[in-house]
Amino acid sequence: MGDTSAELEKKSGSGLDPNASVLSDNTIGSESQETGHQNSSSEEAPTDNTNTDNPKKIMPDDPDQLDTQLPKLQTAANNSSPSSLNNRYDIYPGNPLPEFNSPSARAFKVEDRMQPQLKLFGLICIPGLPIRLSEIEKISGKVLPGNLNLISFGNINWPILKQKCLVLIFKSPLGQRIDKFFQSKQTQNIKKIDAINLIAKTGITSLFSLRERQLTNRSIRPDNIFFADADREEIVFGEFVTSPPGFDQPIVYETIERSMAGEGGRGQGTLDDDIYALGATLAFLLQNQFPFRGKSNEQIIFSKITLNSYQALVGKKLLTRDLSGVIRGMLQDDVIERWDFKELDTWLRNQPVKLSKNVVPKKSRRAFRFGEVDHRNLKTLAYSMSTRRESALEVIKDGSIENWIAENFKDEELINPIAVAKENFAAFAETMPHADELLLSRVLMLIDPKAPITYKDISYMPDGFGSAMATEMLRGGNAEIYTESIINGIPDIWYTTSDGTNPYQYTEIEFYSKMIGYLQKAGPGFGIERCLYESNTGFACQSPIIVKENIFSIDFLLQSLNAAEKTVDTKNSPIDRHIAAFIAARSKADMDEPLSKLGDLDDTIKTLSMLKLLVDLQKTMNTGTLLGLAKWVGGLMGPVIKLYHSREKRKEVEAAVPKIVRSGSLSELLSLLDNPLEKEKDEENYLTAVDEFGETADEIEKIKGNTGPESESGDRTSKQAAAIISGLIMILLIIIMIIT
Amino acid sequence: MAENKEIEENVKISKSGDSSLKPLLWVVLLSITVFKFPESIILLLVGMLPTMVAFVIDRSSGKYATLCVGAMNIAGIFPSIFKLWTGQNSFSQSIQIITNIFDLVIMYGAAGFGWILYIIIPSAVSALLNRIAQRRINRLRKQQHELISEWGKNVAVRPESEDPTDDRDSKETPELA
Repeated sequence: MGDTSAELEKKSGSGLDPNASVLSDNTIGSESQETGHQNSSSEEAPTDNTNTDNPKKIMPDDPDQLDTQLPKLQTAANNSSPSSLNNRYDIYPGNPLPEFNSPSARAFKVEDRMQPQLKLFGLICIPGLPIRLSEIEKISGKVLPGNLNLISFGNINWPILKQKCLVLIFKSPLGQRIDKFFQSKQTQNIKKIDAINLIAKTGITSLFSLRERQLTNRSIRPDNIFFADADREEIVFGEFVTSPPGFDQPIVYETIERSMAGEGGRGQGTLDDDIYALGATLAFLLQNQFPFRGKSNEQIIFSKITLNSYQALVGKKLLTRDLSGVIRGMLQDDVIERWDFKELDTWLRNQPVKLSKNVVPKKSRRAFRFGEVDHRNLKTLAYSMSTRRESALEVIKDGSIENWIAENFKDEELINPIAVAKENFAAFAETMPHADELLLSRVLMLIDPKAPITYKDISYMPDGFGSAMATEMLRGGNAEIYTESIINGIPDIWYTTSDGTNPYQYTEIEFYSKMIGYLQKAGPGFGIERCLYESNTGFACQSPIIVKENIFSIDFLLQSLNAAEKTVDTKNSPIDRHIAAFIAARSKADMDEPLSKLGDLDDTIKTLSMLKLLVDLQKTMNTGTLLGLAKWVGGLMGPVIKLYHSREKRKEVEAAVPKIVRSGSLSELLSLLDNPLEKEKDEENYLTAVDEFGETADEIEKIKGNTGPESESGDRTSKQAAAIISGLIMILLIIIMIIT
Repeated sequence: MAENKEIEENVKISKSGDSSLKPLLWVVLLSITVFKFPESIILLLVGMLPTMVAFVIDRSSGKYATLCVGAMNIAGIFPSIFKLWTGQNSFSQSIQIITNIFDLVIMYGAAGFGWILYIIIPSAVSALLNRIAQRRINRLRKQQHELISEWGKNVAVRPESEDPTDDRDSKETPELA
């Protein structure tokens, strides 16, 4: 555990490397398990993880790797000056507190200026990793029984990463981590049993308090539970908000379906998933020998499917069997059979609860050999096929899957849709791009309707699309595969093949429909960036202009842009695709109309729309003067000034812009540049000038026609003149003759 | 309608009546003149020969060459006719004048001068008109330049074919802030 987060932190701290490989598979670490326990399942995945299609790397999961993998820049000199949050909390970059580290956040010493006696620590989140912002806002400053108290949070200048980072200030637990306590050889078994009972009871109470606030934890695991006091009489769950839900969880603590998804795509989940995680945590702590030591993810998932989670997780050598009933109830793979709050409440009151059945999934008579494994279960086969897609397509196309299902399960409701899907995709194979991938995704969903959505090399739960895409972006991967999957309607297939028990089904279908709408528009404020911010409320704006400001809300956007003016190339617009999408997603008002003009081909409309948008934001956010941003925007107003035809007016406006820029008011700038009366007057004068020019041109042509060498009129006039002169001479001569 | 047609026909008839009377009146008038002033008519017929020639060869609609030559020809004949009218005003005197080479030189020389005027004056007048027109054109061009410098080159484009983006896309980018 922790590999992924550490890698991500490295990338975010030292610049993203698109070629860097982030390991996506975790295994249960040897530190968490004292001795091995071999699972004798016939569907045990190969230990060398032989995969002919796209082998995934397996790494031993070791919490201590976190520290060793941290780049050197993550430590600062002891005498480093503290960063301040709200002029109250001082966070010391030179005083790391590794005992409170989270996989996705580093802990540092914090001092409260108003209450110095308080023991606090601050978690610095990895910039660029989606956080659970709505949960943070719900729990900040509130006492949540059984959970660490989040005192405050906010962005601070973090010298180690040389950028702003989100810090979460927690009240320090006075005791150590539970897993360290259990690993200690000095800890007696009786104390361990007491602690487990305490965890079970406090854990369930904590889940009740989460239910009251409509929250989920999704980070319940042994290394995220602390003794709240030095006497070890209380326990608290650690933080659960520094990464997407389930992101830092080893798959043992995730339900079978969610563990099949990528870390980022495990989804928001429900408290049922937390109940499962608590059951798995209790099972882990209850054993001296944990069954999954050294096993790969695939092996763990296979074991859980073939045996069921309870049998797979709970070995024979338990510290006590007192809790086996509640653990079995919590680890039921069928969510309907899993204990809910009613049963847990009954158990807490020491009243008898009906024990859950030990359900073992149906197996085939004949095994199906795929991926070096003999499969007797549809779910294991589907999971195996989803990770070996080329081979999976072969067995679908040659009909061997259908034959095996028909022979062993006699499930016509499964065979027929597979046959129909094959026929449909065969018909459209030449015209439909990615037809093979679509066929494979559909068939896998038919075989295992509860499994995550799989497409190409990604897999995500329907409620985990946003965080999956965001983490893929952070890793430098191809996030467009995610958008491609929804454009191809893969989530819709998932919902049509699912059993319809998902309570959020219709909300999620509507969500995907909206995403498709955003993807169908290409301009700024839409596309993949819009999907990214719409689907991740806790995702900081990733625009290169303000990425180091790490802003989560548009309240800070203008100030960030204002500050960025000194460091960025101000010849480019302050609103790039990321910022436009960020505004659209975070704004309460409907910004689609103004944003759509940002993509206009006409520079004038584009620039003016950008200015109007910023003015709206400045008014809405009441940000006051923004000298840097006004200067930046003022320098881009060339095309807008050209809206005026009159050069004199342009010069007048040009001369006025620097004065307004110095006042820092974008609205004044807009009033100057987009004055309807002035524009109308200019337009009228321009049309008059056009007419005048036309008249002068006509007159010139007329003159040329009348006086040119070939001109008939000129010829006639000159001859008339000759005739008149002759006549005058004649009259003159006759008068002279008469007189003389 | 019928009344209008009738009126129009009456007008036509009356007009055609006028035109048919005109030649007759001219013939009567000329006959009276010829029979009343035969000596003057002979002098004029001989003396105005260059004008008659000019009338024949002048194909211009205004007959400006004829007018030029005719005017000067009249000026050339005038001393002779004046002498005739103030003298005996007889047929023999008329013959004497038209046979006097000196008088004929004056008459025909004056007509020749009329030809010279017809050749020289149009060129001179044309040159003068060109000069005036050029000055006017220059003034209008200056006005156009002023319009372009104030409103841009698109002001020269007729509204029906004007593309408003051309003006904005010109390379005159203002330097700001």
